[in-house]
Amino acid sequence: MKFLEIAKKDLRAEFRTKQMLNSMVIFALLVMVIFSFAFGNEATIFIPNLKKKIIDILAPGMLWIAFTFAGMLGLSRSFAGEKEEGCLDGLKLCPVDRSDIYNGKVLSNAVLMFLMEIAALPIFIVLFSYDIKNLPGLILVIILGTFGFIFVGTLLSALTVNTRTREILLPVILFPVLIPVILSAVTATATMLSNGDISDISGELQILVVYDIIFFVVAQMVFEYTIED
Amino acid sequence: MEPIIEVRNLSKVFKSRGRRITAVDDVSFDVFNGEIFSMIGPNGAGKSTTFAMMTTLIKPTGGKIKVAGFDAENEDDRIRPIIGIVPQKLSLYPDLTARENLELMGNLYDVPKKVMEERIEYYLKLVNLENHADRFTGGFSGGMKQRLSVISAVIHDPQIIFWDEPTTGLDPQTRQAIWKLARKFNSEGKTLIFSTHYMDEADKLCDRVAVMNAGKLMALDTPENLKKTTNSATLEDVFIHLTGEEIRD
Ligand SMILES: Nc1ncnc2c1ncn2[C@@H]1O[C@H](COP(=O)(O)OP(=O)(O)OP(=O)(O)O)[C@@H](O)[C@H]1O
Ligand SMILES: [Mg+2]
Repeated sequence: MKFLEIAKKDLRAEFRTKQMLNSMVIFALLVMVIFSFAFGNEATIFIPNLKKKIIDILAPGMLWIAFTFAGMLGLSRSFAGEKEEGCLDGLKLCPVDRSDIYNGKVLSNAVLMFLMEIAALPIFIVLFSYDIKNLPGLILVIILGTFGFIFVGTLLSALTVNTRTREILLPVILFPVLIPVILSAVTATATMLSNGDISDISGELQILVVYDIIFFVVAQMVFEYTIED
Repeated sequence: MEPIIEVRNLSKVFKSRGRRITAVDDVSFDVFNGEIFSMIGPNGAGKSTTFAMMTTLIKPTGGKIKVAGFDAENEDDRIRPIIGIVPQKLSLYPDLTARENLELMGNLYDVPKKVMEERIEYYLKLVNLENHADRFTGGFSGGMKQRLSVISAVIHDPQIIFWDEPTTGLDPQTRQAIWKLARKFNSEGKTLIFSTHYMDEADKLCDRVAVMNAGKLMALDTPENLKKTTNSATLEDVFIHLTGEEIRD
């Protein structure tokens, strides 16, 4: 259970300064507000051929842009702060499994990301005047997508921490790996926003679940090599 | 004297941007159980790299290390619980208080809660930090950080203690306090291995001194014998005699 200790100290330090959480929330809100202006009124015009408004096509993607780019802020600092203070070596010297370090970081990253999403989602719903009937379905999609993002992101964050260009290298290698998650999450989010049924997104949910499991298991196995010098 | 650490033909080669740097070059020595052992040598001699390999942080390029009978490469999980380390670059969390830093280490080393609380109180008093226990370590002075790191490395009552330059950059008072701690821990039966650039420190404190230069072990003996064999008055002269006068990069 040592991963809880590691997550606890991360979150305790974070809630004291709220530096990262504030940046993430503000970033997500900015993205949404800017897009809502950029889309303008035309976006609410109904297109008969598609039986959709333009906004319904654009908004899900925008929501995930906000989530993933805000999440990236947290991920990029997750190991970097540890490394700069010399604390990563300290952790590696403790009698803890390498996977405990990974799981602790996953947990603290996930908490930050969910808090950011909890702050951002209501604003999104208001800003784009959604009336969501199947909120649990939407939340399920967000949770699965977020875990996929965190599982891979935490692994790659550790991998890139020793490089000088980590701020740019992390997104460059992370987003291609995330394509299956982002595509499924965006499609499923779109269905949920247009009040589809959970059975309409069973394919996407399947992909998300399988992706999450695969990367969680793979990360447990390979994480120790990513933090070796 | 039985050895508690056995280092045999140890070497470490770093590859950085196409260049090969031999940080440690075929070094062999023993550290005896219960002694105070120090490593001296110019900047870049390979002291910290040797420490990193002995403490299982990095893997050797060649050679073998045994710590308390365990192989450093394959049985690192047996070694980690019984050693305590104060690295050259301290690893404290600046946004946690002194007490929280200590508790984190205690928990990661599986120290039972009650024992841990007692030890924390005891050690904080021992290094005069009891009134700063609930301050963030980010605001600590260098000496306070060093004292905190020293006690954080013994919170799990390790058998062997590694200190990498514990007194560099500290005032005379703090240095003396650290020496006192070294003697105290040693009198409790712990083996102490430390590196330093202060020759008086190695002279006064140590049972044996290893002199490293450019990755090689130049000499290893008691301070007295080192002075005798090199015909030197002080350990500083021994140092210059063995490692030369030119300045290292
Ligand atoms: N991670 C690394 N990558 C590349 N080279 C390294 C690395 N760590 C150490 N070195 C090199 O290995 C050599 C030995 O370094 P080391 O830190 O062990 O010396 P030291 O004796 O501890 O010196 P100091 O007294 O300055 O602390 C140096 O030339 C250093 O540049
Ligand atoms: Mg050093």
